Amino acid sequence: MRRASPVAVTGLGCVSALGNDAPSCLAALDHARRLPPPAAPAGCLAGGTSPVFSCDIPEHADIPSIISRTVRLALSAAREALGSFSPSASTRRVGVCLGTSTGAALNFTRSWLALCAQSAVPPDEAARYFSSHHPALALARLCACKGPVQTVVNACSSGVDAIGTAAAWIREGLCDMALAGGADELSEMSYTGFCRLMIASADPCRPFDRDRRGLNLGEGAGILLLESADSRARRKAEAIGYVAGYGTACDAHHLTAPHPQAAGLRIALRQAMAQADTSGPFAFVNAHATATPTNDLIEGIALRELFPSTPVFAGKGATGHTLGAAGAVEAVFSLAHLARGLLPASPGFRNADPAIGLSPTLEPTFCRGNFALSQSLAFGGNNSVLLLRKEA
Amino acid sequence: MRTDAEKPRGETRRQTAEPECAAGCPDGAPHMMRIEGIGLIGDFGVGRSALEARFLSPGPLPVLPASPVDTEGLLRYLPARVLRHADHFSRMALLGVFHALDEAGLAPGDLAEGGIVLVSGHGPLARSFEFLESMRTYGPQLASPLAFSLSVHNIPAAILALNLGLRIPCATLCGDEGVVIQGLLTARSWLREGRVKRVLFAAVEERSSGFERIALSFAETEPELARRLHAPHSFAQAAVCLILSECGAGRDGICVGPAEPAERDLPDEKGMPLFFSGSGASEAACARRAHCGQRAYGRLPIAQALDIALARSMLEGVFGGAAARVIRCVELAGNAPPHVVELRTA
Repeated sequence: MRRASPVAVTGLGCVSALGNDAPSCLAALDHARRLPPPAAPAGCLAGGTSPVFSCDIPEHADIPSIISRTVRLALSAAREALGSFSPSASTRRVGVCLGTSTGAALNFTRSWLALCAQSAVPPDEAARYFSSHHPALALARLCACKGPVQTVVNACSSGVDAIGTAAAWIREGLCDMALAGGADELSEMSYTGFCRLMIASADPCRPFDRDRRGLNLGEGAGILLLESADSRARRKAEAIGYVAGYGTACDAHHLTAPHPQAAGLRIALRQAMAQADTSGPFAFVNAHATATPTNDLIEGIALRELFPSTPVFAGKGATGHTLGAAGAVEAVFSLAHLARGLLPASPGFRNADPAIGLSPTLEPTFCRGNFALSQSLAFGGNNSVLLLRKEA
Repeated sequence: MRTDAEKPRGETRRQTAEPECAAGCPDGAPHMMRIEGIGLIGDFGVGRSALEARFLSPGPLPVLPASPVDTEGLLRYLPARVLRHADHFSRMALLGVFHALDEAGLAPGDLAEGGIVLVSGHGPLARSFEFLESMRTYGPQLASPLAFSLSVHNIPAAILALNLGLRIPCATLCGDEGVVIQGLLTARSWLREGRVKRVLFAAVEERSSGFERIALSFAETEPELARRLHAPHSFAQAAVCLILSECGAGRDGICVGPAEPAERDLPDEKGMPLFFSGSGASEAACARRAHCGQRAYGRLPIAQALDIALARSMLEGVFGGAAARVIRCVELAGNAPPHVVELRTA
């Protein structure tokens, strides 16, 4: 793995159950606000009992109604990240690299029921699918971006992978700027699937906690605006932070369970550190920490061994697991935490699990250092890590 | 441990060390990758010769319903019990991978420092409908968790890694426009970063009667919208697997890589052979007297990968005629700029 130059982040955007922009999400995290868990998604066939973390995004009156909620979430975050910069009014090549999971899935529940009942198939699901199942392309068109466009579907690590990919685009000169991140909406299919896998908790989730009983699903979007040094210099854009390294590796162990010794995660961490040419120390680690018994046990033990004195933050107790968006939402949070040197308390965590031997932040915690890690573990045994940097 | 102050560095503007290629690529052509092997499977049959024969004497497009491509050949490489969780999508990919490895004279272990990039227009369709059907038949409380987990887009790439025993980077991309060129960009980035030494690139599409019926119903009830969204667009099945490595000095063979299109124009070829795919392919091919492989392999989002395979055969002289040294495969979709992939040989 060759050392690579850090890529500047000049804009952040975020939508989650905590708020409709990055500042409100971060303020809610700071106040350790735990939203009352809402009911299951409207019309959910599962009749499930696992709470979900939904967003309350404003309507985009200028967007066609067939565009999916995933793309709308991404658009909200992208507009925040772009700020006053308008790709349509610029000659800059702006790429779009977006990770998603449910946003590219065949959400054809009603269509399939109608087809099997030999009744008319409602056209709305198909229209939404064909307009939006490549959400990066839909977002690029809505934002008038003229650069490479890629939708990454690596399940729960998609957001991190999209950011790592877009950073490579900037380094290679494929584009001047890139909207990079992830977005995912709540969907009936994934809700049913996670409930049937018996990993969705009926209670609000408790990452790393002794009494954790599983995850809660959420929805949201996180977008970083990555920018080349030339472009940044020309428009005098300040860097919020940098993407310094990215690593990814598949466990090749099991299709849905992580490797017991976190083998793939360790490779991904090594890659990210080699690319950034640093082995720390790290200001903190943002853990994937879904609150499922297995994920937190394996990830927690690996973190305890690898970074015994590094603060760990686990945020899904406040956002739910936003699947393909998770790594990007958490990258936004991590850059903000790194910039100000302060971590909030990890929502939902109360009691340490002796089997893990690791406690995430219990209260606001100062974190000093120039580097931080943010990691995502995914279905398929995928593990991806971003190494973020405060100053070049 | 070194501190930041001891190793200052800033943002550089470009990657360095462009490799030079002896395979006919221009000096310092950083956009090219060497094709070490190709594996092919699809409605046309199994193997390069099946696609080449179909291309030379094309019949009509496959008629619905098409039966799945025969993947029994996989049993030469893997025992049946290992394949029990592998769906048809993954089996096509696996068979293509083993054929590509065979052609390259490589074993799975030779990819130990490699990576997997899998691209698809729509992903594992059949598993998704299996899950929908289990929800319908048994209700959400008893829907199949296995069908759900196997319907996730990146599971086929994980099945490749698992069955090849490779703990390596895996990326899955989807989209019905530009997905092949995007996969090649990721492969090239990984090679240039030194993240991997080889890339197993797989472009896979499967058929699903459920998907086709819903898409056709949509096209009937909303024809104008369907036309604008290019739906339906996946009524064929295929897997194209390429083993790619850096296109470096002293290495011969055929190289492939993304190429810059002219701004909103088709490339000015001046006699360079062309393959067209995508929604505007037929008209463009007719107008330019270029090749359109759709009659050989059907109409599907990964068509450009099949064109790469055909172009490679053409560069090797399989189709006779004047020997070409450069071929471009162009994907056209709507009003978007064309996605151009170039192949070169010495």
